[in-house]
Amino acid sequence: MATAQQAQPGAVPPAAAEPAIATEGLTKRYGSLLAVDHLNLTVERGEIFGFLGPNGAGKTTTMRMLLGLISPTSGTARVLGLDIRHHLPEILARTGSIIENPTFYPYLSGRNNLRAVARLTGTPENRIQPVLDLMDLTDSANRSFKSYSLGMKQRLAVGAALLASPDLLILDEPANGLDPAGIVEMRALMKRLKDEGHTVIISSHVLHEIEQICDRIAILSHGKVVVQGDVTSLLAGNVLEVEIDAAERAEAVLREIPWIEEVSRSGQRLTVHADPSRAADINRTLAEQGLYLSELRVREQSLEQYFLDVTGDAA
Amino acid sequence: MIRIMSMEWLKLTRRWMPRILIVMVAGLTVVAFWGEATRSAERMNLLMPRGWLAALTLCSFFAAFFWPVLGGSWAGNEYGWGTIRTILTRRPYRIEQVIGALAMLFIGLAIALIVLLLVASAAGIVIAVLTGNHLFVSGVMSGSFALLVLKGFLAAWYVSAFYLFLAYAAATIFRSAAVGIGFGIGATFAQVILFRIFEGLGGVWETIAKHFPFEYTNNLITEVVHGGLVSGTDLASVGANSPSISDSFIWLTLYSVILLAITLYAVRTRDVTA
Repeated sequence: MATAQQAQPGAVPPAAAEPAIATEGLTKRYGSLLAVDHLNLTVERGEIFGFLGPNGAGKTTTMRMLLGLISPTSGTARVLGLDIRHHLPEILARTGSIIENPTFYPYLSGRNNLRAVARLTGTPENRIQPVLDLMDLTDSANRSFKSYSLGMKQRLAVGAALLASPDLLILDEPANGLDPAGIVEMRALMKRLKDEGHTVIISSHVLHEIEQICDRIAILSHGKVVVQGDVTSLLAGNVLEVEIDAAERAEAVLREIPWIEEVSRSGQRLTVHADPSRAADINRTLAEQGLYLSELRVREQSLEQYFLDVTGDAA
Repeated sequence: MIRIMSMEWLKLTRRWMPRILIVMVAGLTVVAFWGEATRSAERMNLLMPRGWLAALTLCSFFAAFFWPVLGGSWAGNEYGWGTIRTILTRRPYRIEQVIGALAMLFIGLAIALIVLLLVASAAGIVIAVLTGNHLFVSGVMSGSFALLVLKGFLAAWYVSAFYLFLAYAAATIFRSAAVGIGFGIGATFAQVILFRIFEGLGGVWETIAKHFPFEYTNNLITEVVHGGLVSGTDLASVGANSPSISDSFIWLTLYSVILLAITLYAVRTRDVTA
């Protein structure tokens, strides 16, 4: 007899409809140190998500919890729609990861290290060569891992993470040690993975890279998420730049508007602190006073500046 | 379990350290054969097929000093290199990881003992040629002797596995290869020293000393194989108060089970911060 819980034919299983990662009140405490403090994080499927924060903010601890290396003190985490406490093997079978730095057997060659990972995960060994090709390691595949440069080690680690064609990639500092060309290649790889439907979470200190490739970001400070959202929206900020001939009169008019937080003037340029969505209101108000703008635009800030503003002293 | 064992086999067959250890134990066995061969009474124990029993006795003695290096480094390096993360972020079955690695190391030990028996065979043949004896002493080999060799092999393997596991467990618990190796080898020296002190103190101390693992590992192989060696020789000598085969087996198993329980508890409950 059919029950209400049974899935209907063609229906999307609940797990597939859930975010790639969803944490609620995720907390890790080491004695008196609160490494991760009631973390609420959502990563949607198919996006590249940047996980940022100063050293010691709790990024790696969070990643370790998501991968089952350390157990949360409290809170819940669901990865690919599954609870990490009860479905870790299923989650890890669909997740590729690098945590902190590439860790492989130094006496094994790059190829044999991938072979070891393949045996561990039950991945067919015919996946190894395409991964070596993808990561540009074919020529050095038979050299021992200990002889690799940092960049080669990093590429091998990304290759190992991709070996089992995972749905989700959790990469802690994947660009660490890469030269500029390697960073460009890594960026292209991440975008390609996204296009193929993979979800990628990247923790990095190379904020310029994060800004270029991530759809959304979360910034951690002292174990807490201080901001989380769409990169474009976050960086848009609330500063408008106005260029106008009668700048002094325009300044006086704008100072009378209550929802404008601050106005400053430099020559014919005004800097207005206000919600960017009210740019049209500013234009209309000035026009009503016979003041016509030559330019009005939202000032975008760099992720680096935004990061420093948000994390304050912690960075 | 098969997956982790398959990976461990790959590591075992590609790493130089186990091969170097086998070469060192083989070398020492050959040197010991050479030394023993200078004494005519002992020489009879070195000729085939008794040479196999002599080799197993010697390998059992060397076990305390060599196999802790393998066990300690095998477990400790996973933490030192951080490769424990590579394993557990792919297969989070922590107990399986320990059992799988140990199972493969124990298989490796059995293979090492077979290699050492082959080396001892060659050494025994060379001694026979140099001393004008038959390459294979007639009248010794029989069904019961073959069974004795098999029992001796199992005893030597069991003692070797115990020392390997002792270091493996210490390295896992303390997450350090150096601690594992140091504890594995140092424990034997400590027991020898403490045994003398406790024996001198007498009473309950002496009783405690007689239950030291070293007492059992040291006597197990001799108790098993002495019947197949030439009586009256050093290699065949059994102490009047030495523990029986069953006592040695039971106590070593008990120590191993306790150590395994502690190791698995630590592995199962601890955060992986390597």
